[in-house]
Amino acid sequence: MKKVQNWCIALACIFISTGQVGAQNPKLSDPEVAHTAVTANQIDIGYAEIAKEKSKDKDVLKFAETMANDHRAVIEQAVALATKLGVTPMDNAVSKQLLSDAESTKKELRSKSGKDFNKAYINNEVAYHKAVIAAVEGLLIPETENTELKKLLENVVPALKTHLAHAEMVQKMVAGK
Amino acid sequence: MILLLTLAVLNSCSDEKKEPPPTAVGHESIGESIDPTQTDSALRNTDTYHTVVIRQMEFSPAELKVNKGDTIAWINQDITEHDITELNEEKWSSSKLPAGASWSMVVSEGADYYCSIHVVMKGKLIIE
Repeated sequence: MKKVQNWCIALACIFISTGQVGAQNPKLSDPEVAHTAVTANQIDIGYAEIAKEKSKDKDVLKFAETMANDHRAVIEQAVALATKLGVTPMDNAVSKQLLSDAESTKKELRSKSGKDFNKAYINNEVAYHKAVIAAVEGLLIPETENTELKKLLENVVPALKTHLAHAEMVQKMVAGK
Repeated sequence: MILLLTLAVLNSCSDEKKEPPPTAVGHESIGESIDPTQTDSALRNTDTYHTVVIRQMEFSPAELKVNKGDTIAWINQDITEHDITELNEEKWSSSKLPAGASWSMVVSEGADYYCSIHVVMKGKLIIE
């Protein structure tokens, strides 16, 4: 579960290790940025679906529902924009690594139940959103050339920060139960 | 807000959530009368009509001074759906507002309110 906390470091390492770019100037194309952004949203929808299957806690379930709906809305807008721009999101080393890490996390979440699950899920949500915010602000937005795609990513950041604040609130609730 | 242009098929409130109390606080749907892409300077604001924009997960203005009987309109210019719900007892609530939708009510008392979907989003109506 701690993998996600090192997500930003992992992003840089992936670029360097795959030789895609130089160490001092990691580079993603706009189609790769779009694919990475959509993948990050899909991953959190996947976590929410597990929560809806396994949790009975109303605060956790409400949070998971919001995550699923909001991240679907973001994906819909990203797809609409990509269609409008004629851009085909491109699979890349970052999105592959994200999916690989997510599978590991989902496996761990599925192995838990009851209060242990609730804590593991919401702790992961806090860490995941921190990592995604850092990656979007520190890598994806700076790397994006298309102004409309950049604007979409900039518009997503407040939602991610609100999700983080909501997750931290639920985290405190869950810890007290 | 080009993205909103591509998205916005305005759909005003459904009735799935609580209705406002008919005597304390009235409301009317005005979802079809507001252009969600208009700029702040183009939004309708008079002595008795006030517009609150929901954008980037905030109510703007978050705090509004009004008189009893004034109409408050909330317009969702954000990328996700929101609602407007009285905070303490959930005395009144809009339905879920998709991106581009709006909702209004006539205010008869001050209130703290929030988005029950994104519970950290809060606003306040102050009766002068």
